[in-house]
Order: sequence, then structure tokens, then C-alpha cells
Amino acid sequence: MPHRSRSVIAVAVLLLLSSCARDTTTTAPRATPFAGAASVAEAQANVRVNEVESNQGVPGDWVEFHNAGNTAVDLGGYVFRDNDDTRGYTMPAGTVIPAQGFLVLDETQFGFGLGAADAARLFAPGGTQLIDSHTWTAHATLTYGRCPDGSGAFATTTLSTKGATNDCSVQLFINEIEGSGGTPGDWVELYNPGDAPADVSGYVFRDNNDATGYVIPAGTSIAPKGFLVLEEADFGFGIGAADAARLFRPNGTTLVDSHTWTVHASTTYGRCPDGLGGFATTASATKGAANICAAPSSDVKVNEVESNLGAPGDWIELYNAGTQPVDIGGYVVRDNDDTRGYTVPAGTIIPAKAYLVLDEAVLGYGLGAADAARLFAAGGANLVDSYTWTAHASTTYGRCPDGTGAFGTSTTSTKGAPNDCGAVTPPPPAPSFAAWPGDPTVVNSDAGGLFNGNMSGLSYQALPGLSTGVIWAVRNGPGTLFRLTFINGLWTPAATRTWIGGKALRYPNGTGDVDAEGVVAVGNAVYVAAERNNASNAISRNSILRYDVSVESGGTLVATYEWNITADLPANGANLGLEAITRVPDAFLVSRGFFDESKGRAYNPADYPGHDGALFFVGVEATGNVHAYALDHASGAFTRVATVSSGFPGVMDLTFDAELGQLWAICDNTCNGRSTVLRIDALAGSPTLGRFVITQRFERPTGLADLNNEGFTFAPLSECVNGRRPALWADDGETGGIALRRGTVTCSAF
Amino acid sequence: MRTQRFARLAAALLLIGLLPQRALAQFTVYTSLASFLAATTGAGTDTFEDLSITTATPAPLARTAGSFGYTASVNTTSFFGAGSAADRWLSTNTTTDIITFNGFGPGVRGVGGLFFGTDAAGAFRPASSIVLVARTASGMSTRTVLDATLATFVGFVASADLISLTVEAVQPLSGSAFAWPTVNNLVLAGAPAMNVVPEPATWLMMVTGFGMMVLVVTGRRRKV
Repeated sequence: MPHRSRSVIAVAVLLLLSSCARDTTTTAPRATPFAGAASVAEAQANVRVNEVESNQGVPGDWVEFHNAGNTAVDLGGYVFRDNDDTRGYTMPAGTVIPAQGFLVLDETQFGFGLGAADAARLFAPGGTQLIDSHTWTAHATLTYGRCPDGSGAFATTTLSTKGATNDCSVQLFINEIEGSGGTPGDWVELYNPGDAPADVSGYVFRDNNDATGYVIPAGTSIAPKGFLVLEEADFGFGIGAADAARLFRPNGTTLVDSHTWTVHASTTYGRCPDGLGGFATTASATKGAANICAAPSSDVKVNEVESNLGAPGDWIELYNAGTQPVDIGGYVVRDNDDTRGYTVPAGTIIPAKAYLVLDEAVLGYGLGAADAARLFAAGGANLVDSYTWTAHASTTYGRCPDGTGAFGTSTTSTKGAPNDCGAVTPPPPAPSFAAWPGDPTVVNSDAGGLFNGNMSGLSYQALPGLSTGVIWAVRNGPGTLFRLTFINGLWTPAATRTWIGGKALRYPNGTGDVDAEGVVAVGNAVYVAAERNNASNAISRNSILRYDVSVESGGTLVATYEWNITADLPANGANLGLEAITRVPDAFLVSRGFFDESKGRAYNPADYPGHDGALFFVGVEATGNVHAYALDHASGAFTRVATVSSGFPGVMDLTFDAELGQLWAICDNTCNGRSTVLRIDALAGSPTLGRFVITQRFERPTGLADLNNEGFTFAPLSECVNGRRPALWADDGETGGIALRRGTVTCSAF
Repeated sequence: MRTQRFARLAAALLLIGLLPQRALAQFTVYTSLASFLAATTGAGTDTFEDLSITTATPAPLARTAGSFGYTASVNTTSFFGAGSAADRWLSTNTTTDIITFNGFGPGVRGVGGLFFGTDAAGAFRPASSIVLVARTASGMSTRTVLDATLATFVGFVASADLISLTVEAVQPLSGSAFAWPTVNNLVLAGAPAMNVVPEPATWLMMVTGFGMMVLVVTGRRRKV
């Protein structure tokens, strides 16, 4: 055989063997996709979900696994899921937990956030066999963790220990402080709110001096719901008039709890209620026992309020109408938002017949056009006094006479001084609401039981060539966009084949669950107003999101833009943010001389490149205010151009009637389903020239029940019959299984 | 004498009435593909076999049927590929959308196809009613197909160039079993051949016109 022929044969044999080798590889068992993955039994024995951060972690949510075994475990191919079976994160090959070690998966890795009511689950390769899990119904204050690692039950941790051994120490509070005249001297009381004894051996107590400290002796514990008093004789130093009480973990550096004050309390400083409440001056010292909270003084009143353009901002004036000084330490001052409040520092005293002004910078929040000033006793539960208004006063609102009289509009502002009773005018009359400008009859307009509740925003979009257009509707949870078609008297999602069931809304990175509250459509773009990501529902995320509905994307729509305006709005609760959105074209705004508050002159579209020919008006539930934004579609920037009150304490939907030049604002059952209509003031010399002002107020149709109607829209004038056109309301509560109700509204301008 | 005057007057009025109609395009509707093809020239067919049947297709579409180009559009943004992999059809994504075929260009005198309804899944929906409207620059012809089947052919042949054909489904009066307008095998064709046998309606119009002319001429002779 020639040498060349042998070579050819040899090469052929090698290729054949190579081919066989590849075949062998491809026939590896599919159930074990990664050669090095641990056996399921090994993982079941030693690997546990060990700690979970579902809210405000760094850089986001995370889950920690612990390997209790003495050998490393390869989790390549294992699957991590939250409570959603439709998604999961498959760990790449070579993902190893060391023996007795930890493995952390960040949100950026697994691609979805963890919600307030959610789960962390570890599955074997294939994603069906559960290895371990933890389920919760609300975010932990810090994290959820096993105590001890791997084997203990889950509990709320007192320290986040990402990638490290869980901190199993107990929760403790400094509960009462005697800094002057105690028996036999100063003392500090600690409180254990738990249901098990708390071992406080080695904990360190300090005042405001880091150089000294008292180490609690070994073997010291506090009974469940019990108290431990540390005496001055024990810790060896006195507590001053301006001082602090601080408790540290045994490492001496991790602060557990503290309280700081600037003057001695007349009695003691104590939490009210025990443990969980804020500090206030107590009614009397209760050393080693439950605190007695001081009865709120009826002498302290909300006396004057500046809600607009005060110096340096909004403010609330309190007044002590009594003849004795009142310690209001621990009192809570709120506007109309229950989720926030300013706690007055302990030791704050208002002398008799004196005033205390709380500025916006101190309060931490501004006051709205429709808002309230409320004073609560220490602990924040019992209302002491309040005043509520529906529009900014031209000056301030004040009592006349101080402390005892009724509120009225002041002619002059008297911040921190007696109200000018000679100039106080009567309060403005309550606005009247006219009958609904349409048929009183309202009928059900969906087939029933279609949406499972939470329908929130509506937007009518006319279609060329068709007598009836479509309505876009958003559901706030799960965040979904529906495309509704009108057939035989009902608005149905079932008439468009690729939209049956709606489409789940996602943020631009493809994740999240958009709490969609308002919607407006223009061409192929649908803009959604959202107040938070339902997957992190304790955090405000007031956003305007743009979706392209011309591109078919299956059951999910991913936003092409997000303008997160949270930082530009007054702080509000995560569930009290954006509720409404509508679009007002430049041509209309310019033709009516719309005033640009950010520039201090007439609105000029050229000031806002890339804003797509219109301003977007959004409504805020917490304030009832409507804000106009120019959205840059190129850079993602935004500018707030104007702010106006809807006339309600909360606004639920906005609809701009481009044909008649009218902006509708809708309130839900918190305002009896009423609505207002706003037009641009074109009256020369008017102080509101160029601004949207309320020109009409309407009751809901008499045939429409007072429901949680969060959506409203109506048809264009082309659908008018006998001077009226179809209107539609969306009921968030889907009362009686019906989410959509249809009536009519006038075709005439007001 | 009075009778003759009345007859002449009537004839003149009839002629006056007919004259404007001569400017309007005439339509002939065929329910047989063979008759349609016999009445036209150069027919081409678009079978839609390239359409996706798993998702929506953005509208409008620029397409061809034989040598003829045309545009297919809907009121919204997308078509839906109905039927099966073996036989794909053009349909709408939304029940209430109307399919419009236009942009035919000069010389298209015939348009036809199979017209029926489909259901939410894109399958044939029995007992659907489809409304067809063919238009020229000067007239239109409407045909409603009741209980359309997969083999229901309708073709329009016009005496002038066609500018559009619209296809709309009639929705049921109750329930949610909607009908989506659907088209298969769209045919576009050119002007009728010169030796085409006129349709009965054309014959009737010709005979009537000829009779009126005879009546007028006869009246004039008697007057002389």
C-alpha cells in the first residue's frame, strides 16, 4: 500500500473516531445539564435558603443560600424562583457553595425583583423538584433569615448579613430614660418586645460619650415583654440635660437603639407605646414597668397654615391656648397623608399663649392645594386638632381668635404671631357641583368577571375608517394593558386575537410588574402612568412609561422609555402616587397662551426638544395636583412645566378633550365620584392668565353608584347622537363582577 | 296624438335619465371563479402562503397578484395570519377592522377571491356574513355573502379601473363568538376581452336603449 494511501486511511479513521466521540457527548443524560452539578440528595441534605432581602437591598433584592455540609456543593443547573412558576434563574455551571459557606444571588443576576408577598425557592435541575423555600407576606424590616444558619426557622433579622452568618441577636429597645431627679439616680430602661427571653450579656450602654460605656454582665436576660433597668450606679456616669442614651451590640459598635434630647424631661422620656412608639414626655415615671403616656393637651391647636408660596416654604403654626406650658414632644404633625408625619422632638415645649411654627423644611413635606394640617398626640394615633382645605388661600388660613375661633382666609400672614382677626374674612363657600352633563342612566358595559379587579385607567382612541374606535385600559395589578373593542354594547378584550387577556407591562429592562394607574394613547404609542413596581410595592416609583403597541410581542409589553419623576414630586406614599395621565398637544397650548411656570413666560415648544409635540399631564392621588411635563424622547430627561389643582384631595383620572379644549379631572368615591373641568384662563389681566383653572364642577351621573371609579374616558364628537356621546368609567373594585360602565356626556363646550 | 306626444316625452326623459348613468362604471358580480376568469384577462392570484400564522403581521402590506401590485391595509396596525401551514389566509387582528385592498394601479378591472369568517384561533368560522364593497372612481358595488364557506368565491368586474375592495365581517348580535373577516386566493385581473359575451343586465340595458332610440325616431317621422 502506498504511503499516501495509508495516510488517507489513517485520517479517515481518526475522523470516524472523532465523530463517535461527539455522538457520545450528545447522548449525556438531559436531566443533568451540568456535569459537575451536585446530586439532588446532596443539595436536599445540606443546602438551604438562608436569608432573603426583598426590599431596598444593595444593589437590589437578593437571596442567600447556605451549605451546612462539609464538602462544597455545585449548584450548576439548579433553579431559583420567586412565587412565579413561569420564570426562574438557572444557575450556570460551576456555581459552587463552599462547605459551611454562603452563596448570594443578586437581583441583577436572577432578573426579577422580590415582592412584599413573595417567596424564595430553590429547585433541582429541571426546575420542578423543590429543594428548599421561604415564603413571606410582607417585607421584613431588614431581611428574613434562618437562625441559626441553615437549620433554624426564618425570622425577621436585626441586621442584614449578606453572604455571611446570620445575626441571631434579639430585638431590644431603649424604652424610658430618667435623666434628672431619679431614685436613687438616673436610670435607663430597656424593653424586650419578643416572645422569648432576650440574652443581653455583653451589650454596651453609652450616653453621648463614646469614651465611656457600660457592659451588661454575662447572664443578664430580659423576660418576654419585660423590662430591664440600668441604674446610674451600675453604669457609672450621670445623664445630662442635653445628652443621649445608646445601646450597642456586644461588639460595641453596632447600634441597637438610641434616643437624643436637648433638655431634661419634666418627668421621663419614654416610648409610647412601649418599644414601637416614638419618644415623648411621659405622664409620670414608670421605672421597670409599662410606660404611661401623657394625655394629649386640648390646649394646643393648629392655628394658621401657609400652603402656597410661604417663606421659605409652607408652614404650620401651632398655638397653646392654655395657661400652662405644654410639652408636645412626641406629637405627630401630618398633612392628609397617613403614611408620613413629623414627630416633634422630645422636650419641645410651647409656653402658654405662645406659638410654634413648623416649616416645610422641618416637616419634610409640602402642603397641597387640597390638603390638611393634622396634629396627633404622641404615638400618632389620637387626633388632637386639624384643619382641611380644598384650595390654596390667597394669604393663609387662620383661626380667629387664636386657638378657639373658626378658620378663615387671612388678609395678612402672621407667621409665629397673633392672627389678624380684624382682617380675617369668612372661609370660602364650599364649591357647588352641577348635575352630570349627560344622561343620568349608566349601564354595565363588559360581560362580567373579565378582569379580576384593579381596572384603573382608560383612554379612547379613534380609528380611521371605523365608526367606533378602541379603548385602552390599564389594570394596576398585575400590571396589564388591555385593548377593548366595542361590540354589541359591550367593551371586550376578546375581539383582538393577539390582545385577548391583555399584555403584562414591564419596565424597560424587561422586569418588574408595573402598577399601571393611568393611560393615554397616541398613534402606536401608549403612555402609562405608574406609581410603583408591584414587585417592590413599598417603594414609590412614579413613572411615565411609553409602550409601542404596533409591534407584536406576545403576552408581555416592555416599555421603550421610562421617565421616573419621583424625585420631582412631593414625597408621597407608594400607593398614593401617579394615578392619571393625559396628553395635551402643543398647538392647543400655544393657541391658548399656556403659561410655562418653569420659564416664567408663555409656553414655547422650542424650549423642549424631543418632547413629541405635546405635554403630558399627570395626576397625583396624594395631593390632587396635576403636573404638566415635557418628556424628552431622546435623552429621557423631563421638565415640569406647570402644576395645577384638580380641585380634589386626590385625582384618579385625567382626560383631555382636544376637540373642545377641556381638561377633565375625575375623583373616585373619596369625592363621591365627582369631576371637574379645567380650561386655560385667557382673561386679560387675570392673575391666572395662561393657567388651567377649574370652570365646571359636576356630580357623577345619578345612575352611577359611588364606586372606586379610577378610570374615565369618552368618545370623540363624531360619535355624538342628540348632543351626547358615549362615556365610560372603570371600577377598580369590579363591583358585582363589572369593571366597565357606560353612560353619556355632552358634546357641547362649557 | 296626445298619446304619441306622451310617448315621445317619456322616451326623451328615459334617455336623459340614462345618459348620466353611461358615465358611471358598470359592475358585474361573479360567484364562479371560472366565469370571472372568462370575463377578464391576465388574472393573477395572491395565495397569502407567505404569511405567518402564529402572530400578527404589521399593516399595511405591499403585495402582488400575478403581474398586478396592490396594497392591503386595515384600520388598526396589524393583520393576523389565519388558516393552517398548508393553507394560509389573510385576516384581521381585530374583529371590527375592515380589510382594504387598493393601490391597484391602472388596468385592474377585476377583483375577486374567497371570502369568509374566522374565529379567535384563526380557524374557519361557519355561518359568517361578509360584506364586500368594490369601488371605481365613479361608482361602487356592494355584495353581502351570507353563510360564507371556504369555497365562497365572489368577483367584481368593472367597466372602469377599480380603486379598492373592502372586506368586513358582520358581528353576531350577542356573545363573544366574533367573526374576523378573512380572504384567501385574492385574484386581480385586467379588462375583459373584446369577445366577451355581455352579462344579462348589459343586454337588457342595450335593448332598452335601442328601443328608446327607435321610438324617438319613429315619432319624428310621423310628425313630418
